[in-house]
Amino acid sequence: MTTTPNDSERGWIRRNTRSVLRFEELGILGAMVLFFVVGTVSSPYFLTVNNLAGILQNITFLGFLSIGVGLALMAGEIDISVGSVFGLTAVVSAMVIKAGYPITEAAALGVLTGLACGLVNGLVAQLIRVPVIVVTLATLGIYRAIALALAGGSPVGGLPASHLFFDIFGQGAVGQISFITILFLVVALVVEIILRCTSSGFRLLAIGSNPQAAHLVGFHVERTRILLLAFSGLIAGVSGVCSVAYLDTAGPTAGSGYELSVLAAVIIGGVKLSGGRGSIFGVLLGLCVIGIFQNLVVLWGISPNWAQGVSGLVLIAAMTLTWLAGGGGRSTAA
Amino acid sequence: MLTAEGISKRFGSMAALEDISLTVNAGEVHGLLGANGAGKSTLIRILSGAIRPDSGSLRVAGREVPLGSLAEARRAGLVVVHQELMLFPDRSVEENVFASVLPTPPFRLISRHARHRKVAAAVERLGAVLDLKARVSDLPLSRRQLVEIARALCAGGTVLVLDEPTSALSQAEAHGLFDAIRLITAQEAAVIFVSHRLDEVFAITDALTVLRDGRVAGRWRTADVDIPTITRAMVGRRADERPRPAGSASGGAAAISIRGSAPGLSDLDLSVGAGEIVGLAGLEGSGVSTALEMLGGVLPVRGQLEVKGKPVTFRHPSQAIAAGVVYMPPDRKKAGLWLDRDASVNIGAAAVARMGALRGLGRATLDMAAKTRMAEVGVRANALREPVARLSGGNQQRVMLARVLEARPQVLLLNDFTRGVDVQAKAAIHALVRGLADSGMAICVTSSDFEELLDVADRIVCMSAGRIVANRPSADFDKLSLLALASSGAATAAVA
Repeated sequence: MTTTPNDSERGWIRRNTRSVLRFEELGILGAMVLFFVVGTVSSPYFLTVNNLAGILQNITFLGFLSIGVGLALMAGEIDISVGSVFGLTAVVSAMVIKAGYPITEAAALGVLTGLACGLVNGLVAQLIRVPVIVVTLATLGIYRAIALALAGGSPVGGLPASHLFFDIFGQGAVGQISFITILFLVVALVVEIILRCTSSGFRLLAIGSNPQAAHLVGFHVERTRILLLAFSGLIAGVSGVCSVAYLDTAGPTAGSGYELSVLAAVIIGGVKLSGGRGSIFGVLLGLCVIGIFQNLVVLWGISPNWAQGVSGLVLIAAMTLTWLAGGGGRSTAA
Repeated sequence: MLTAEGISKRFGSMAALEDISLTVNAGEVHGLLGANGAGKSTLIRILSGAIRPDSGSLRVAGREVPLGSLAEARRAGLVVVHQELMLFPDRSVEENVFASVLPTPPFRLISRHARHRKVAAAVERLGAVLDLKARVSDLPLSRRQLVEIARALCAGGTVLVLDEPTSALSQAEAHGLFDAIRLITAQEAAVIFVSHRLDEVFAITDALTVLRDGRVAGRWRTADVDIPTITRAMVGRRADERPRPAGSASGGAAAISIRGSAPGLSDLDLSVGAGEIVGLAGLEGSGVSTALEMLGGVLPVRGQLEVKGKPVTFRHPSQAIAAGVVYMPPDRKKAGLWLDRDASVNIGAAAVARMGALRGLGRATLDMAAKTRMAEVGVRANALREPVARLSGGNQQRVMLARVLEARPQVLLLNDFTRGVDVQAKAAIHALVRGLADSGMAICVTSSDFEELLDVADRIVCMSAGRIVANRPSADFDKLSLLALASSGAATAAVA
């Protein structure tokens, strides 16, 4: 039985759809502006070049992870192991550098470790037909344990003091924007172009929106999902290696708790939880919201114990707003 | 035992049931028959209390039963055993049977002995041998059905409604079920037996009520009536002897052919020629849908599949599409369309499926593919930018057709190709399909509406209980004989 909406119903649906769209496009921007104003008013340090550049630097490492997780979520999957992959790849590349191997090889090995972690996530989920959220919850623990075991529980430091990798790539900047942040922005731009303007991006969103229809049209749903999880691991590896360049050290607990901030950024950024909708631009805005909030916590002198709680609160607030703007969830009936 | 009078129910402007009365005596097995859409399921849902009729009354064992309440219907002893079994697969038989009588104040203690005694008594009434400790998921389907019936009995059911209870059973299993039914009715309970397999209805029932278009088309004592009378009542006289256009009998070389089997489907031997429309006729569970999915690479084939005489293996729909074999699913909401996307995306997806990875793709590419196909199937052009959820059922179906055409098929497999579509859109889709066949496409269609199949197809392959029971030009059938064949069940399947 299909129901054909009559004209008044149709108008109602259209009004609602439009209000959701307006929210998705402008809501995040509006929230950002609001926080900007709040920040500027409440702290004299907020609107300084140094502080803003600091926020940007802080969201860079999270940002790489958010691209991977965002893409996975758009295709109807999720990856909560990225924080551990980040820590593991940082430890691996730092240890290889410390052992005296060339830095290019160490960096490559770090990135490849990330790729391997992601592939394992995807393949295990596929082979034993378990939801990927369970698999990545398990590997969240496993990858972290490997990182801790490799590093012997303490940070891998004492890396060669002077090298291009650390001095130029790690610390260099154009004005106040570091090379690493620029690399992140370039990657984000490339991924956004692939998402919006290529056959692969179309397939990804189509799979997330209706996997059954995508399968019947001839898209490779399972293969795509494995590849996306592999990519999520790979880009977490890139982030891990960059963090070594930036910090000259690798802590085996680095990145723990990132999964919360990453998911918050991705969801605030308008990626639909059930898949099929989202953009990297939105994810960037979501990252900014998280970054500003974490910055304000510091500026307001709130105990850092609350840092993770803030991400959680922002996430719930954002979802509540989406729910309200979506007509209390009723618009899904359209 | 049970008397329903003057039951009417409208859904929107459509009358689903009009002035239905039904009388079932104690100790009687009463058959409830009707073609698809005759109103059987609505009536069952009203009896179970799941929906409230607009008017009418119901009495069970002389007591008035308030309508529209599941709890009241249960209290009156009216229990429906559904087509899809509603059991807890991970619990034991005993727990499942007992679940229906769990005492209403929660946290009341239940003695294991009392439970066991109660369940054993119910199972005994069925004359069934059931291991009460077995896990339901370990039981074959026929046993699970008995568990469900035992549960109904245990709950104090005196009038049992069995909705298509044999649809998934083999003949031997069905006879086991019949024995159980006879035992129940011998103990003064009554059974309403809903089925579209006429041979079974005649084997088990004492009386019959036939529904057609939401009205009672007739009632009989089973002993006083024969199968042709019943089929005529189900179909209505008007469709009886209408002449059919003679099949074009084109049927060139086989474009696709299959010999094989699948779960619930045996000895499938089917081929479709270029320029030919083959109608797969069968009731729910007959295997027509499975057959189509095997042809289209959606389900694995045990056996031999050939496209244009060359053996092929499809592991994924994309391989079938590359070979020119395109499947259209029946359910456009679930597996068919991206409802929140516009027609351009929905149709263009088929063009994207042909592209490699990371190829540039703009709106223009999608639009171009979509516009051409929309003109072909007759969807208005301004649907291009509208989420397809907002289109009418007929237009949604056409968008789906447009997409399968964009996949450039040589063999087109259309599963229930006019589901939920109004009369005018149906006619347009029929003309479209005919035109495609005339241009040389091999087409295989299924439909729940047999009249429509006879109108559209050159040849009819009729399936019942997983076997092909007839394969002849459609001019050889009328709706009546086709329905009789499709309802014939496994018994006639062996003969034909």
